[in-house]
Amino acid sequence: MELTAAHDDDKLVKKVYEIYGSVIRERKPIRNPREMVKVLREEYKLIVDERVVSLVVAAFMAGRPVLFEGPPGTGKTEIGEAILTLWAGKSAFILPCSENYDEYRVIGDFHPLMALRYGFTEDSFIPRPLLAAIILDAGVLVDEIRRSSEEFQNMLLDIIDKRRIVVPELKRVFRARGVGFQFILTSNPEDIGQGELSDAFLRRVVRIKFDYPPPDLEAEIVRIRYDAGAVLPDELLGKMIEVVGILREKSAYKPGPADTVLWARIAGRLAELRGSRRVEVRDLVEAAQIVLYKRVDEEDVVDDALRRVFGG
Amino acid sequence: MMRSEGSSEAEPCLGRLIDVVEAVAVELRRRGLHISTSQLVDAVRVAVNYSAVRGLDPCRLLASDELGFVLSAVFARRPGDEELVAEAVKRYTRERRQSPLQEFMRHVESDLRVLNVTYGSRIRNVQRLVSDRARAHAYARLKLLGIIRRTRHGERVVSRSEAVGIARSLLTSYGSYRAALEAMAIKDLERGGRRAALLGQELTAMRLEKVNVDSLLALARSLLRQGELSAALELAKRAARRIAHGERVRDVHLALELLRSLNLVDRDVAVAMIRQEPSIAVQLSELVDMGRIIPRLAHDVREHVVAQLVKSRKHAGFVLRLLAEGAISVYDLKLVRQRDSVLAAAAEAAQALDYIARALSEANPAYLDMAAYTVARLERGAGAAELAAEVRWLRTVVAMLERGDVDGALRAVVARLQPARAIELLYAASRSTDRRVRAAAQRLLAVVASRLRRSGAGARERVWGRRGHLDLRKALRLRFFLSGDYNIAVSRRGREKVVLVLDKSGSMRPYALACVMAAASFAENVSRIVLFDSRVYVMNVRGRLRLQRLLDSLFAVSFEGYTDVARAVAEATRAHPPSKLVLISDLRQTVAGGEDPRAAIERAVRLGWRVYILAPPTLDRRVIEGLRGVRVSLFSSELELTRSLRRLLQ
Repeated sequence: MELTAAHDDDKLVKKVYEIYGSVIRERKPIRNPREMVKVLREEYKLIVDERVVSLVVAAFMAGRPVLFEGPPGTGKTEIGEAILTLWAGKSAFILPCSENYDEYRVIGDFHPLMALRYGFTEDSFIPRPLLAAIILDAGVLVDEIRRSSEEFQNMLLDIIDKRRIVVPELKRVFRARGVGFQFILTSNPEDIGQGELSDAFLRRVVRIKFDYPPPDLEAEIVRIRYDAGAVLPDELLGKMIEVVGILREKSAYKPGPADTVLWARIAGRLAELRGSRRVEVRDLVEAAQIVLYKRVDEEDVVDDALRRVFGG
Repeated sequence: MMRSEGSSEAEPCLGRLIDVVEAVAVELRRRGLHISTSQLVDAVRVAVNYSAVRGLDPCRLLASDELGFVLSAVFARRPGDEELVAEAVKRYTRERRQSPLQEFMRHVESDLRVLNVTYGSRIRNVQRLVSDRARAHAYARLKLLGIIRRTRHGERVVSRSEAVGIARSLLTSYGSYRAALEAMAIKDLERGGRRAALLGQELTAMRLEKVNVDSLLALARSLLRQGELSAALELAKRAARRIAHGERVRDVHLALELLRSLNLVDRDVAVAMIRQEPSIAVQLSELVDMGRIIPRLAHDVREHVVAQLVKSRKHAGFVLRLLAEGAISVYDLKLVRQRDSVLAAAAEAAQALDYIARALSEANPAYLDMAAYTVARLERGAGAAELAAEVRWLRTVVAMLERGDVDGALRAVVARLQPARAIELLYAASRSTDRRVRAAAQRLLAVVASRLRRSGAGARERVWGRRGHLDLRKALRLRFFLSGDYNIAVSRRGREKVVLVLDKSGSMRPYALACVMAAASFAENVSRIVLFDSRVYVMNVRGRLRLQRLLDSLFAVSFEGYTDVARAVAEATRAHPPSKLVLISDLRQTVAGGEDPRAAIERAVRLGWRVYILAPPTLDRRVIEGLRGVRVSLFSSELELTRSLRRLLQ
């Protein structure tokens, strides 16, 4: 990504372009939901309901961030990143949250040695992703927002509401330059070790619930993302989805469509390694032991489900 | 509120959309959701934008189900809020918005028209009025809502202003005409349900969870008398389900009569009824296969059932068949009173075993003499041929005791008894005044515990002795190279502490023993055990859990009393870092006035606890419906419980 002439005199903007310009890829922005759905499917191999995309676009137009909430493996992060990229026309920034995330890690901080030399000026300031996103007019995906502290969430809310970042040390205010600076947040309330989101936060977001897809859609997702050479017969794919369905009911670790895709891919690879052109039950069972054994105390549950569906 | 007059004239659909969003927000506020004004503004903006990007005009958006999708994205904040939003949207988009008062009055007036009366009229000849079904329904509705009242001069319809007053007051409390009618019908059912019964089929659309099962049965009976067969059947079905889930009825015989007439007695209902009233087994034996029912009963209930079946004479042959099939054992016949038959001999054998058990646990030589006498009589009496093996065995045990081989006798007896009974006996013997008996019992308790530890272990566990977390990367690599041992377990990590919460109220008695034994035998990581009925006993475990101490505390209190699940969960999670909470209970909160068990469990989950509920089939499903972050497994036998516990604790 290259610097435009309008900003080439601003040191900080220049620095942002130097640091992040090479990782941000530009593309033609797409803001028509129908077209977005098509591109998501063809380029990103993501099947997204047009209603979801339309609602995200509607929320962006109303200046509201969007919160994707749902169980793991349902594609929240991937879909969020892709939509933001299409909306802004450039790659989105991802902030994977943790408890000790603070403004210095997302907006910017001063390099201690450079600060000694140049003082607390733009020369010693290192811009971080959020500041870069507002300068580059790119989207921001805040992943697993429930893992962050309340302080961090409040800071985000202020930035989202006012569409500007204040850096008091530099005595500067950075304002959003276009409509590309949008937020999608993801969270999984059922996961362990998650905090609660405050009412104030939830009031300001447009919350879209993600759930496990129905079996036929999940089969389509697997088909679209399956990249191994060996053929995966429809009958076996149906049975895989049946197993995953049982595990979602019975085990504490509930495999998402992402796990189903990984399972299919590994089974395909195993079949290839065996020199077979077609995935067999043996490959699926062995791949299941790699992909679906997530908790030691639940291996029996996986075995039972495999036995029930594949027999033996 | 937000709409200017001009905009509504120019854009009628937009105006209507705003009206609906506003009405939905107001409805949601009434139902306890905090919807701020800014959210309301956001909702309208997002809905308008959404209709624009979807290419729908606001009228079409209102007609489709997509408005619910959009509004729940803005208004719903927690899981479960979506349903409330969808319901509210449905209500306000179905028909042009009508105020709840207008809707209420429309229903009242339509009922008045059906009865051909007006405000202030007197109602004459009620019996004739209710002979027609439509008129009976209308009369019941007006009567329940208080629009028709009894006065000194007979029944009369209130005046319109009084009716409006009644409507306003009911709407303040219940929100809508339907909810008010439902609440009034439930109140009436609690008082006998004479008026509510007139509602017929309409009752089946009501949520009657709060009505107790006796009222439900009475209502079904009353509907049956009125000829409302389908409504009666539906309500009786609900009652049968609740009985099968363990809800107690006041008169089991009366309940059976109704359920039998509607052909609703299945195995689950039969088991639940027998648990409540063993004498009903005789009647039930004509409807269900007792051979499948008896093994599901706890041993003390089983004894009563077998005794009842034998008492009714015609079932004696049937009991003998069960005995031959192994569905019951000789020792289930302790209470059987019959002369001159194999059953009498079996009952005597059971009695002899009982004497032996007492001789062991109470260290009283008189019981040994009585056992010896009973065995001698058995050897001489009729039926000895059929029970030769049992009699021989009893003789051996008595001989062992006579020569002082307490250990051998105890082992022999324990091997014959059901696990729960064996533990009870061993526990009693472990507190005997005789030192030898005490020592033998404690040794055997340890053996039983280790058997429990092994019971229910799957084949995989026997093969894969190593436990730990699967090293995915390494396993995957080995898979690709197709080399030998695929399952690579990384070294065992520090185990998570488990808090075990065990319901020891009357309803859970059959399972409590197995659970405690299992907990004591394979729970190295149990850090706290909470036993509860209406009181809560907390035992913090430091170091290895001692079986004897656990059994002491378990037997120190009887298995009866009310259940306070909510307090038990609160105590279990107090001053303990969040980890795994295993709750073994049927979740039937029988202590009134306390916290709701569902709320207590939800709070524990919010605090970060991983809650696992193990429950018998009599579980109160209302508590767990839609509960997030909680795993529930059902068990119907001690073995299943032990298996589940093993999975959770090891």
